[in-house]
Amino acid sequence: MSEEELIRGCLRGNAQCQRSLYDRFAGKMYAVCLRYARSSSDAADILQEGFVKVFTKLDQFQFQGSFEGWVRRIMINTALRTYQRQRFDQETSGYETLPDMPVEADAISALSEAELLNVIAKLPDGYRIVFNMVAIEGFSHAEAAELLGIQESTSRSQLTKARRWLCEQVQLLQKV
Amino acid sequence: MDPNAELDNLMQGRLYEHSVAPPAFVWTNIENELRRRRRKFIALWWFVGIGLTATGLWALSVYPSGNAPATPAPIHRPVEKPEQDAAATPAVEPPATAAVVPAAEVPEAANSETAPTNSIAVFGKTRQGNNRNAGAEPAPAVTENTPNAEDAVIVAIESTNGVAMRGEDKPTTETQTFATFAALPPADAGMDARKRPSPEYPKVKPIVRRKQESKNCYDFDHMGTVWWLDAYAGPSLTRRQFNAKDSEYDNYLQQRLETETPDMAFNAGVRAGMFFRENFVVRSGLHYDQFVEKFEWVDPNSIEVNIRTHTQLVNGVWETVIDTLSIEYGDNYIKTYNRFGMLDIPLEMGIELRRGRTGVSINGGVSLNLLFWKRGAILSPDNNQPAYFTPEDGTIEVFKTNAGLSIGGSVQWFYHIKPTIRLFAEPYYRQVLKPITVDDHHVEQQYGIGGLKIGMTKILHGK
Repeated sequence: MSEEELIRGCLRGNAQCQRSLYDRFAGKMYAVCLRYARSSSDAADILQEGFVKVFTKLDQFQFQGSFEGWVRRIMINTALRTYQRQRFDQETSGYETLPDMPVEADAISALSEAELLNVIAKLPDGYRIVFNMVAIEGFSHAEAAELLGIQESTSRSQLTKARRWLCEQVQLLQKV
Repeated sequence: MDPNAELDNLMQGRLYEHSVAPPAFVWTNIENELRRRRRKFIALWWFVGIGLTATGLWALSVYPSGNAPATPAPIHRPVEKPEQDAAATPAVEPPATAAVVPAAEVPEAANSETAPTNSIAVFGKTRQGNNRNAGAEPAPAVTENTPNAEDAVIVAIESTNGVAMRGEDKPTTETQTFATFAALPPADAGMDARKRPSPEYPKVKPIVRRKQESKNCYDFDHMGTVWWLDAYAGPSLTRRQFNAKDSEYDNYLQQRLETETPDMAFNAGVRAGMFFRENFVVRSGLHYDQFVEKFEWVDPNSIEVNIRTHTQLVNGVWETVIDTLSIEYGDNYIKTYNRFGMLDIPLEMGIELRRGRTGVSINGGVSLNLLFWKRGAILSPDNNQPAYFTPEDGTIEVFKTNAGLSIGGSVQWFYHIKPTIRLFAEPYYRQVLKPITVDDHHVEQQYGIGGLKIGMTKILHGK
């Protein structure tokens, strides 16, 4: 069944189409949620809430552009709602003073996706969210700042700190 | 290549399309949630449909009687029957429900001397005619007025079978009953029933049985202007509307929505009402609405540093020294119940439709706010930290001192437990016309309040 047929089936309330649509996107979206969430249980909650929104707001999808992108955006917005700006915009990690430590490409390639997700999950909320949005999803700093309700400069500094922190963690893992 | 960009590309390449199988319970939870929402949606529509249908049926059933004419329906009075005719007339066994007697079913005897009538009462109305005797004048129907249209009257004629009832004569055991039959004029043409000498007719004892009048209805129709007093209380719900004055405050608005949730609310009041021109109502009094909103705020990365300052001699100089006693890391959780109270003077007009002991009234009007009190905390627009707005000791000024005008309406269903005491249930809704926030606050906050008033009315005698 094509993607459009699935969507139209879901719009009619067809439970089988809903299940098929979920099966098609759940894996990727769960990985997105894992990147944004502090823990796998939080990620499962975000995935659940996000898919409920997908099914209840499906009539707002205009069949223009990528459906996967639309679902991904809902998941990201749901994750952002979970971790509010006021909870992390003042946070510090102790890594502010670390010097730039470029990490070798091989070091990252040597790690599995699960290990990388694990490293990202350990980032403080603010760093993790900005890193995910800008470095992985491809948002600009201006877009990320607007969505998070923070200054653009804050977004830049959070990303820098996140990179340093990640490099440190990757090198530590390498040594182990 | 920029090492940062390289790191980003590496991570993006590995993680953007990465897929992880979610736990199985997620789909089960999604299904349950979707099912729950669907049921809720269907139940809501059923509720609305049933409510509208019931209201419509109720209005239809009440409206005609609420506008029943005050003038009574004409009721036929039986005319006395000649003694000799009574003996000759065969015993008629009218059916218990013999309310309609069509002209065609009038027995032939109606044209004979033994049944001298050409007038038939049908449902209390008089149908004249059926006078087949040339030159015979139709006997005018004799009617009597009943005091109230609701007083249905059953008219019956009891006459003895061939035995005259004169003076103190008691009826014999053979008694005929004619229900809803009119008296028949004499067969001899030109003779007016009104001129018939009454002594020749047997005593006819009309039995008039009135439908038992409810003792618990107040006679509004004959009391003119009536005053009453109401007292009520009940649960309420609030409908909040937020509006950011500028798009730069959208995020603040969103945070407000996420940190504040409506909680319990109630209403209470007393009012005086006046009933005039049969169906119109005007009322005013004091109405109080109180609603609560839960404010919940969490800072998961809170750091609390406990310090102690003291002075000590350092190199021969007294200096203030700060000692750190402890540092605590954890959640900072704040929860308050924000309370808002509004005392208003409502002025309402309405129309009341009654049927027996019960009825509905539909009302609308305005409310003028007398007092608007509030206490609690919200997020400050300046630093997104909790701030108290309680007027006496608050740190931010958010709400006006007076909520201003409201408009609203209500539908009351009432039931008389005594002629002058009613119980009622009254769903209502009022919309506060202007935002209750001060003008320089970044987010406008407006309220609509709906609820149910449950109370009692004491009717004071009018005239």
